[in-house]
Amino acid sequence: MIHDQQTIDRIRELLELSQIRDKDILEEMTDHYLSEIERQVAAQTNHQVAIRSTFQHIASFDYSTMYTQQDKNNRFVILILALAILFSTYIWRQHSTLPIQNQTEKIEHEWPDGWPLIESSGTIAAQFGNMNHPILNRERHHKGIDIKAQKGTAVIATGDAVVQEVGYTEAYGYYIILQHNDRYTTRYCHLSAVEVLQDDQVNKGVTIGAVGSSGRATSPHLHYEIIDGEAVIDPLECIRA
Amino acid sequence: MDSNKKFLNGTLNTIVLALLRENGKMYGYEICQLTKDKTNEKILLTEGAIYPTLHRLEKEGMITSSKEKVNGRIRKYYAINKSSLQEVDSQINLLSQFTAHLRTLLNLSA
Ligand SMILES: [Zn+2]
Repeated sequence: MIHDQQTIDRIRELLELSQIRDKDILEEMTDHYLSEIERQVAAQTNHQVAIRSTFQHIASFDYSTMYTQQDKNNRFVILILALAILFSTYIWRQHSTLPIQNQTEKIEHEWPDGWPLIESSGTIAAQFGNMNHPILNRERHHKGIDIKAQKGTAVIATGDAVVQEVGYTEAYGYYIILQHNDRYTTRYCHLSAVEVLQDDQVNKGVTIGAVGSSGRATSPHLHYEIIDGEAVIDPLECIRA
Repeated sequence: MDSNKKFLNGTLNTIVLALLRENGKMYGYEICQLTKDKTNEKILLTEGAIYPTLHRLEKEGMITSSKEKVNGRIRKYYAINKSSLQEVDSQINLLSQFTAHLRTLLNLSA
């Protein structure tokens, strides 16, 4: 389609009125708007209507932002990136540790070997050990395992024990610490309910609380830790089928 | 630092580069229309965004331009600079990885 000189001149004039001076850019934008007219005509719009609506568009388009637009886009991307890093760090830091209790003598003892949820429910969502931050290239140590389960699922003692501590922290939410013997203790975190009191005696398999997402948790799961003396150990290596 | 800044600059750049890599030689209006069609009009690249991006990419040497006479007027075409092809690929990969991470985070259940 060949356009009449009048249309081409008018487009240039409107662009110049919008402070577009660079010859190459004028030429390129003129081609842009002539292409737009051609597209509209090909889509059965009346030629004169297409020309007029394109003129109107140019007259009302804000070209002053044309060379600052990119900065706005950048700011938007920076915002998204910042939010993503913040959110992922929050998830990553979900399991900061409680102070580890001082243990005295270490004698050979039975370790708690049960599965901490009733009827073997739940699935493992995060393993013990190093966890990579999804965006920042950093590692941290995950002090237990995360077992994903429905809110309210019964949490059970993994071995005979005395309730050493029941409490709440910002990171762990509601938690229970069981002391099984002089050597082993276990921790159950992010609970939605606690059904035992400090110094209670509990047998293996007894319900002590319920799965929840209290503290820094995005969805219901049990964070389960086993402490051997002063060191956390991998709970999966302790569980006997 | 430099690569970080490039990354932030990257979203629109990367979309443009990906389109050029897939389609070869394109002109500005064509890129706007193709984006509109491909995204069901969800992403509208205006002339105010597309031309500054094209000009910057050209200045950086990522793309090259050539002029042709079409319907009696001059049309400026852009294409990926062959010597930057590897960098273009890595930028596209970086953005798709970032998008995948975002998707993981948004569906995340820890
Ligand atoms: Zn955890």
